[in-house]
Amino acid sequence: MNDRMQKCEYLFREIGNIHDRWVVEALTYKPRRSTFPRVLMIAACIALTVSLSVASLIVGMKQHSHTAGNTANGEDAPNFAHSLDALLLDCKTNPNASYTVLSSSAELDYFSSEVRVAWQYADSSAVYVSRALTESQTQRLEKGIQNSTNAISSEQPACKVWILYGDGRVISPYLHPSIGNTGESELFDYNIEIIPDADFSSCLSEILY
Amino acid sequence: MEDHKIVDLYWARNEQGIAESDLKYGKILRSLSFSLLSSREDAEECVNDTYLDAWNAMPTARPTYLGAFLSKITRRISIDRFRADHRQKRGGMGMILEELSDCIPSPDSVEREYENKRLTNALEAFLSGQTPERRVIFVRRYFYSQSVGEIASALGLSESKVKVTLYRVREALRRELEEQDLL
Repeated sequence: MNDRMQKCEYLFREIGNIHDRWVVEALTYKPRRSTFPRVLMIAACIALTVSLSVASLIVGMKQHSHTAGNTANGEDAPNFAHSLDALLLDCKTNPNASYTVLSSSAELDYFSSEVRVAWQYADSSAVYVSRALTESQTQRLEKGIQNSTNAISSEQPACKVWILYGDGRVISPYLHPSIGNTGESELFDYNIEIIPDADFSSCLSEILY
Repeated sequence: MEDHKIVDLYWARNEQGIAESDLKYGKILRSLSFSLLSSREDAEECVNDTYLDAWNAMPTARPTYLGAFLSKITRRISIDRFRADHRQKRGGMGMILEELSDCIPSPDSVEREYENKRLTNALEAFLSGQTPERRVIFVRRYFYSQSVGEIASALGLSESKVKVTLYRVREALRRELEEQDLL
């Protein structure tokens, strides 16, 4: 057995000497469950769905007026500062949006050497992938993550979003940037921790349109 | 039956203690051993050996958490059994090398014991610093040798979440061991 495997076995054996309280905890641990009443939860879901629908309608109307030449505010792209969800929900049906659709994450190329944004809508295994990002776009997205605000724990987005670095690394803009929150060749599940700033949405909008 | 009452039976040299242990913890112990050995017969033997070890240990031992006490014995016996089985199956050069390893001087026993203690302390500090969910996933996987599917099902999580959590915890442990120059 080589040195590395010997060390692995040594570590494995030593894990057997951890304190009894961790051994007991592992089998008695009960994950925290929300005590939020079910009716209120359903009402909150309905309210969220309605507000997202309204938001995407408004965004769609703005996009329509923009493509019709109405640029009174002088902006080159719609203002998606407030909600990544609204942006991604809108681009799903917007013919001007540019992305690729894969039937599942199994088709993703994590080692393409290109940085791309990937996202999934709730209750669908399809994966949507942006075109390759430029270096400056990548830096803008990363800055948007660094300038994030803490999310409210109950505020889960409708769309899961990841950034693929093209070298196997995968992160989410909804998680604190850290080595521990960096996945490897996988669109991992997560609970939202942060909300990236308005420039993140703005940059993503430029990438998609 | 509560743990302290079962321990009292052992101390009183009452074999009912073994029966009560099996009733309360037998399933966990067999599952743990089977996860390591993949053989029901071998797992059964290891669990039986566990009760014998426990019988010999009490008295003088008086564990607070009987389940943890028995699990550790089962785990140790199962690992030793695994190594012994693989040594036999490998045969040929593998077995010869294993025999010759007896000739290689081992580090001073005091030094070895010191290193063991350092690693144990490092593991303790590491686990204390983890969130309960991360710690539970780690211990279920690497102490109880449960599969990702079993852990996900027990905790109501997706397998993807469990895998990512394990990856992150392993990375964190690696950094910790590197910082302390262990292994």
